[in-house]
Amino acid sequence: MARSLGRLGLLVPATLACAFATDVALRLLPQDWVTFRAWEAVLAPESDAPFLPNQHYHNARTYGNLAAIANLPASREYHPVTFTTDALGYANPPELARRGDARAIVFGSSFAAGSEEGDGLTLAAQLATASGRPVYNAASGARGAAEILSLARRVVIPGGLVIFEYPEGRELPPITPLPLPHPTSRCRAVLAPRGLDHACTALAWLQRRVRISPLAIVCQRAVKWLEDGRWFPNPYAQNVLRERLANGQEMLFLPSERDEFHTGAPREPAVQVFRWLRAKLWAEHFTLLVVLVPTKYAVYAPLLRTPDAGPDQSTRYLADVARRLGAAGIPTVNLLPSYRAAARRALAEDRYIYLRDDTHWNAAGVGVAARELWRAWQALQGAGAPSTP
Amino acid sequence: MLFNSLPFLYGFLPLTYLVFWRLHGRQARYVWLTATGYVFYAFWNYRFCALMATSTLVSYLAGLGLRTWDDRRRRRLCVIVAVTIDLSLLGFFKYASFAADTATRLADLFHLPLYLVAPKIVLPVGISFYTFHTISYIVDSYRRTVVPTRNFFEFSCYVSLFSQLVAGPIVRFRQIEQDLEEIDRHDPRASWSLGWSFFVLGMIKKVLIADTIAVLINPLFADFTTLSTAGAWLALLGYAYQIYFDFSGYSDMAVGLGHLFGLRIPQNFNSPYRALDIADFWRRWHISLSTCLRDYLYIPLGGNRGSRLMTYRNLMITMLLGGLWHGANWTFVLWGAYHGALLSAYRLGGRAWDRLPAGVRRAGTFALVLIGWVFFRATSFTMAVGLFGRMFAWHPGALPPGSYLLPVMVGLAAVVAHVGANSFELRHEWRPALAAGLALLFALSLVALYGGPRMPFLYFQF
Repeated sequence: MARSLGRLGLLVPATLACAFATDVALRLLPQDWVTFRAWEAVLAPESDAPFLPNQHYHNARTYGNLAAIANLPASREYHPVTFTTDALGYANPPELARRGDARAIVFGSSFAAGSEEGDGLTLAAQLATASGRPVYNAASGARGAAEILSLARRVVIPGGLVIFEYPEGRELPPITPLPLPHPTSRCRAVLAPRGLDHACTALAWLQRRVRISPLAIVCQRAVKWLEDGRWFPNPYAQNVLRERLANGQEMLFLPSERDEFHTGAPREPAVQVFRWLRAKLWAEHFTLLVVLVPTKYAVYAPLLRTPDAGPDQSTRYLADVARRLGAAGIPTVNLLPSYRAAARRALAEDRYIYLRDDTHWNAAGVGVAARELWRAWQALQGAGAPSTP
Repeated sequence: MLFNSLPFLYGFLPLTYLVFWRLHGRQARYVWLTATGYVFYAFWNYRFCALMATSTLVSYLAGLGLRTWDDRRRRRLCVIVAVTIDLSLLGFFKYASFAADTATRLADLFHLPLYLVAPKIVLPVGISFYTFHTISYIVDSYRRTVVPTRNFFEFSCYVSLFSQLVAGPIVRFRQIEQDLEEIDRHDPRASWSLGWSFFVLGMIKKVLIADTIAVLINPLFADFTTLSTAGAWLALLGYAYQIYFDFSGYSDMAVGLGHLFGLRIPQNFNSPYRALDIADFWRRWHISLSTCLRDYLYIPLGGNRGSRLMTYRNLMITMLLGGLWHGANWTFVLWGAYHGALLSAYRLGGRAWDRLPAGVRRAGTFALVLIGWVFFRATSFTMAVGLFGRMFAWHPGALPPGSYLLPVMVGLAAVVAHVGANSFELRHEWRPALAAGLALLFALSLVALYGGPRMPFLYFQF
């Protein structure tokens, strides 16, 4: 009896210990094999920059975040992506930061970061192609004004252009007056004077290992494989809106985008923050250009098989923000009108300007934005420097 | 922190266990278990630790008073003051919003100019359970059923023992007193395997059975207005097994954890769906609560010592308050009233019922309990009425997609609940193949824990 009791008393703690050991061991290995897209693979929220520095990620079968969060394998649109980050942890060719001769720099959200499109197709890359000038991609994530200025000084020539991509629906542009307390910044502030700044890199590495459990990701996939709406209900399906476009194809949206389309977003804070940022940049001879990016739902609402007849607050909101920014002397590009037109033209040929299984624009959509920005850039040069704020 | 969570399994439990057995002497182990209980509790909301500490201190002081004084007036005062404070805390945190809301609705009904703003109060997890622990201690001390302890940490260890802290079982001091007194004399090897056996069975019940059924039935209840009649009954059956495996799984885990620390926590579920009548059901379901209600409410009210009418009254009061204990919602009160009525009816016509074949009585009792679960699961009267409408008026239709495994899971759960031996009936002597099978199921539970959102135990809300 004692022996048989002993077996369970041994097997269960051993199982627990094995699971723990496997979890720890997998955290120490490279983690690319459990990622489905560049964003997860190279994102580094614990670091000063948005991404891990000097990364070269390639995935032949990446797919969109909406298909992932809604657990809809049938809606995935597989495509290859290659995503490279420079020594500073931004999505650029490695030599660009070293040269420090960029004519423009792009700050903003994951849209501008362009991890869905990959190398050569990000907003900065396509703007560089359109303009024939080097453009530095400094997206994404929240940035302190000090960081924005410091990075602009480092990689952009004096008098260059600072482009701020502002996606609709954000309550405030992700800019703060104070330096953001990134863990590695705080660490360096303490340890660098003692010559121990390598410890901060190790700390960031460790934090990433603590945060990401490949075993949990594998188990989540196993559970999601069961909960796909056939054997078990798919509780994740409610995370997205599944709509049919006028051409009969399915497109996924974030439910919050439809809400914003109907209710609108706050207006004042965005304008105030940009006015303040512009003054800061102007003091250092940089020119601010704001680009307003509509949500995917705002672009496609009129192009659904049953067009959304609800109140279109997006048009009103973006036009209002653009008008107020213009009145404050801040050059602004509102992408909504050109995007709706481009989306309509593309749809007639069964093409799209946003990824159907993702919240973000695709390479074609980025191209439209890049052309609009280049036009605005040329206009700024033609008009001379904007007046002092 | 949940028993079915990785921080608990990988961090809290091993650390608590290893340090506990490294410590020598009763006092050190009391202090350690008290401290770990507070850490365990603080994972939900550290601010409420002060509430538990207050309740512990008040009850401990009352116990000291009851130990010291013999005259009736002082002893009564000890009980009244301490129980009033404990119940006031429970009443404020659990029932203040409910009372204000109910008063306003009543005033509105009678067109009275009264509007009470229901305060937004966060319910401290486990308050119903540890309040019952402290009250049972005070009352038992008053009745001289237990000798109140002088040792503050022995008492605080009893109240804050992490294995029973947030969802019971409601262990009375006298049930665990001996083990606490001998806490420094236990052999860690003696109940190691027994503890893991209970714990693993509880984990499998909770994670693999209850949570799987929950995944299948939650969408059905969320959209109950579209359910077919068969779907509504199947969803309710699913809920009956979910709540049983969820709570009895938790209780088994608590018992197993108790054994790992040399503490014997009593049985809380004794195959309740095998009950022959409704009184039998309450002797088998949440035994620690039903015996508390019996000893501290029903019997003091007069029990069945008075007239038949008084007995019915006492039964109704006990079950109404028992329902209300489960949650500040009229659906729980209705559930209590339903069971009070069933118990009264059984007392009235029990002899006729008892003459029926055992199989019929089992099936009938289960059907009555099943119908009662509608009140328990419904979040409002409207939902309860709607569910009854779907169950008892014919609505054709199939199960929605993604629910096809529900009949299989319900069937499997039914076999275990109605036919299988319960955890206390098992000898916990596992042959190697069975032990390996259990370990495999435990590993599957870990996969589910890694892979899905943590599902809290249903009784945490009470």
